Amino acid sequence: VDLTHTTTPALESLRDEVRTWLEEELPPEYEGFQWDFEEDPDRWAFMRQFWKKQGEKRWLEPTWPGEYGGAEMSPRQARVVREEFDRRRAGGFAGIGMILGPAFLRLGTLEQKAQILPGMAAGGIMWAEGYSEPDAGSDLAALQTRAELDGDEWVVNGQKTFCTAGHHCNWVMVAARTDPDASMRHKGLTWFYAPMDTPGLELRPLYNLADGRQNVLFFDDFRVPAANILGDLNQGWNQVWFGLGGTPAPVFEDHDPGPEFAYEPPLTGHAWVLDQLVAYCKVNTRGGRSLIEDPLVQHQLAQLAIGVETEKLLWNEDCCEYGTHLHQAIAKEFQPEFGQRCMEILGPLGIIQGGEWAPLAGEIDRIYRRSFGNHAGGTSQVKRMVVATRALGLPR
Amino acid sequence: MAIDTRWNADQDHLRAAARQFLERRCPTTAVRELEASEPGFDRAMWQEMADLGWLGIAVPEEFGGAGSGFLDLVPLFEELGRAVVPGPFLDTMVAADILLAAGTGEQRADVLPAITDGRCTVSLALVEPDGGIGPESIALRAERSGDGWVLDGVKLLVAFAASADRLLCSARSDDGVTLFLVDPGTAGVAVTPVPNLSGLPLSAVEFERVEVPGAALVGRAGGGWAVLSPAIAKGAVLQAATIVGAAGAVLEMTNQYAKDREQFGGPIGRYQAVQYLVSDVLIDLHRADLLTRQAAYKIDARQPFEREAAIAATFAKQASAHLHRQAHEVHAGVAFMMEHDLQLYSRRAKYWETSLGDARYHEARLAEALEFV
Repeated sequence: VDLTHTTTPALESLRDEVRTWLEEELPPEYEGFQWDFEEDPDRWAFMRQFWKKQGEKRWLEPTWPGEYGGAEMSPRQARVVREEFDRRRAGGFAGIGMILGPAFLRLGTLEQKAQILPGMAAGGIMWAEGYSEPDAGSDLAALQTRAELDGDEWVVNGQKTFCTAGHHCNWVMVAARTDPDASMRHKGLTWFYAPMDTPGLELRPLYNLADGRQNVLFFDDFRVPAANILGDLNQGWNQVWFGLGGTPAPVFEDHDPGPEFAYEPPLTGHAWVLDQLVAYCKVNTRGGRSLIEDPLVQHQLAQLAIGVETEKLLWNEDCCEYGTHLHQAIAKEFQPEFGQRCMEILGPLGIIQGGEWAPLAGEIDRIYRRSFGNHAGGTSQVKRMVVATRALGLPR
Repeated sequence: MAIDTRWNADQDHLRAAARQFLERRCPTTAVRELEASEPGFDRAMWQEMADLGWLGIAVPEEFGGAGSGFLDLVPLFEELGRAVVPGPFLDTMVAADILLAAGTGEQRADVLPAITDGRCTVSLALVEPDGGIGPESIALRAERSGDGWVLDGVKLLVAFAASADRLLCSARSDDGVTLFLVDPGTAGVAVTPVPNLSGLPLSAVEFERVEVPGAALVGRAGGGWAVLSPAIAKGAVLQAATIVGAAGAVLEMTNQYAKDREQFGGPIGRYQAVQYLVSDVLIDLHRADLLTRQAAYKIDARQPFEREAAIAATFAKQASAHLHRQAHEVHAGVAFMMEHDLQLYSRRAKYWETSLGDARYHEARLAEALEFV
């Protein structure tokens, strides 16, 4: 057990470089951008050019090989970059590339990697997801979208939904049934990709509770070159969805001579919000006394701190003997709890979304609303089912 | 940046050795017999554990111990919890910690080697009749009398007091909170068992004009809370480890029952309502485990630990109450019967959940550590 974060002079000079760059490139009014919960055109336009510049610095995918636009950074170098972006609450790159990048590195052919990865690392390829369907949400393996081979192209037909920010993206990854025998379930699924301006794709907007836009995707004879399969035919479920097989991407080392010294990583995510909320409770009063002096407020804040601490440790643990689903169940159950407790602390003012009367500039209202949209990749109930049946071996 | 939440090989080895020893030496049949016996724990087994070096893990070598770090205690206390072993382990370890922090040379030389080699147990006399252990509750009076002191008052829920070789007692003198190491045979000390749920011998210890020598003072008069508060925090982390260890046994028991028990034509574990209860136990266990490791690491690494210890203690005590309730729900009627082992755990847990501070106590420490007040 070792839970002290350490750094080195070399890492700190990288940190300084990132910090200086962010001071130049990220004005405070663009902090806190979240691609899945924003539609403001000005903020999107700013972030698009910001990501391109980030890509030029090779900081969009810092751990990737140089030939694919990465900086060949070690995990701890990349962590420093991540920390500084998070410290400034710089918006993460839109789309599901975070998930697909490692999948391409692992499963892609040389041609596919050359075709896709440099564009991703430069901020030019933004991925839309074509996974969920109206009747296949948490039970993704029930999906009905079909792909049929016609010459050297696959023809995709069907309907996808909840495609977050898909109208901002330019490439789409779609999971389709390639074995017509529906009883094959997850054994007959293949992952296809193509540019979104390929004929035969229509988007219809779905506006969500947290100011984001998702989309219904209609595939009508959407033709995908046979070469654009990620992984193998009929193997997408295990290879892409469950991340099995292929050749793991190289992990680069930094050969940093040190010396190592301890440091405290910046507060990010819920920890940052909690910090803001504690500060708010110290300077605001209700009924003539400071909010922070209210024992019930103290109780709520302490319980939030315990949850935030658990989140941090789960992150440090990486993966446990019970598998990632245990972590996901805990995290997904904590998100709504966090939002609800914050709301209880603020009382009636919690729902004010902006303007001079909004506590924390409306941050609690936003985080509360967003907590209802944490079902991507399966609801907490599904995670619990997987924990019960796989980790604990209870009957299905 | 070598962040690692895993145990090292030595710690795994200690855990395996402790588990093997306790499975042989302290099965639940033995736990049941000890509950009905005097002094409520197995002195012979205590001696065997001393011989194995387990009572001196955190005691410096100059007093006969191993001088290991605090982290090494965690696997041992987890195993003590897993086997619901009765005995003044935690009280004695906390007392040793207090003597190391504030005891006189004479007190250390007198008590620490005796703890390490198994001759001496210490019981903590901390709980006041108002149920509190904090400075605002401490009311047992200590008054100077010549070179010594006179103690007058009552402490409750003192574990294994009747068999204790020493009592470590918190008191209030004109100087403030003051600690004493008292021989329970001193005139005026009366030990009365208190009927209780836990299955442990918990007593009321009445101090009626008890005269103790000046050498009984631990640390500085009025400086007691500065010593006791961190010792309680560290002890509560080991109590959390005990809870984590017990939760492992409760999870196995509960999961197995959900697979074996058949109703409506199949195992009850196929119902999601039941799966939720079982996975609740796992989630409580896993969270408490990680938080406990972190707190123990901070103590071991001699970094500030108040915040992490308060988080671990608060959560583990809340989680203990929750996970035992869920486990009982899965077992339903069968664990309501005394012949079932689950009740050994759930009764004992009710003591663990409040000894060395309940969740409210530790949450208040957390509020201090987070500078709410």
